[in-house]
Amino acid sequence: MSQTPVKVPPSATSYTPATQDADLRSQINMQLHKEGHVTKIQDTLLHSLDAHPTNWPSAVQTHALTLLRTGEVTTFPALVRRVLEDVRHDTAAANAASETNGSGETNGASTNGNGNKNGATEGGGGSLAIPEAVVEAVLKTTRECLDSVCEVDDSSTAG
Amino acid sequence: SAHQSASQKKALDSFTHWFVCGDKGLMEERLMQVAVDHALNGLWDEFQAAEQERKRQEELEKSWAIARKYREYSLRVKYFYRWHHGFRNRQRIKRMKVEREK
Amino acid sequence: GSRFAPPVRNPEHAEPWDQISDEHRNEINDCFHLFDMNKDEQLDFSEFRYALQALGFSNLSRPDLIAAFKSAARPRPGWTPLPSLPNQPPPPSAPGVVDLRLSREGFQAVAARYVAARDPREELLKTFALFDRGGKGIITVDDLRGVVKELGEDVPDNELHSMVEQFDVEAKGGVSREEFLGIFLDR
Repeated sequence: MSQTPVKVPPSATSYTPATQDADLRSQINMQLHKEGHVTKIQDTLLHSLDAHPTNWPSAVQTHALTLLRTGEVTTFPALVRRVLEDVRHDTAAANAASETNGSGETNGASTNGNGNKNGATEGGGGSLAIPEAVVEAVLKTTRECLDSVCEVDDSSTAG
Repeated sequence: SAHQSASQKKALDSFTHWFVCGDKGLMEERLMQVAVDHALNGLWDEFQAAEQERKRQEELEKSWAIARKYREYSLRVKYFYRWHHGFRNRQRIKRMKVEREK
Repeated sequence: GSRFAPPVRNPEHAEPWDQISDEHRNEINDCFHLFDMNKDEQLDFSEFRYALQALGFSNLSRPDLIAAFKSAARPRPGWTPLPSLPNQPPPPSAPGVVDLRLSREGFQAVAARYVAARDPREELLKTFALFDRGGKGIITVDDLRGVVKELGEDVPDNELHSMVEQFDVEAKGGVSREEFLGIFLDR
């Protein structure tokens, strides 16, 4: 447990994905950074991305090469921005797809087992969504890190 | 944190999900950028090298095509006309012969 | 230029440039200009190679090409040997192929040597293959129509017919490879 854990109000444990709490986020991010957790989370991300059967990196590379070959983007910074945008879009689409046909249970790390997740983008084309299993791996590692830098302030827990 | 109760565990799970996957969460604000940079690392140089090679190849083919076109054209010109001139000369000789016999 | 260059009085001592036909001389000059891309009246090695290909020399070995190029080329203007760097092997003092340029006269001499040494049948056989579309083994009137079209010319059909008939000895509807050689090579 870190010396100065971040106090997490109980209400924060039932935030919906859309809830904004920038202050709490920046406190935690700073603490994660200070105690070197960020690198650990990133390593988990990259390791599981490379290991995942859908070979997400090569899907991204193919997409990037198409953008370059068609001349849609002509500089590297523009390419990174555009690919990032497409990844965000596909990941959001995949999440939306899982919400609609999933059991609707949004929180909790357990996967709610709702069929193939990574072909979900509309408008055809391979999905650039971050694969479900990779998200799970990141959640698992991040959970351990949060466990050590945060403290759910249960002095006023509802029960 | 072994002594965490089930509800505390579930609370932290839910909070983690918000922290990572929520809007402006860790995934969106940071991890995706890391993943994309990782995937695109080296791709730009690779693409530039491939482009240079493609252009060089194209230039090569273009010059080679120019050489081939010139070669074929000059052969056609040379030998068709020589063949055709041969024919024309014989015609002239035949006509002259006919003239003389008249 | 005249179709048949007058024989040079003493062919053995004459330069190849003087031995070859007017036509070949014109072709050599054409090819020089065709590949003197930047119009500096000089060819670099790759332009030299393409110019020879345009003259029909497309299977010369690279060492031969380099030797021929080096024999007639001169360092490009402004070329100076690289400065020798401390604790580095001294750079070559002689210019490499990439630093050499071939003047028009140089190209004429090298190309004429190749042309003079070439078996005239080689060019004829290549032309036969060009005329005989579809590799039928004979050149038909239809083939000649194609050639005329490509030359952007207009030759009456009866002339094409008699051009073929005159050499199609066995009246098989076209001129064979041997008959075609016979047109141009005085046996």
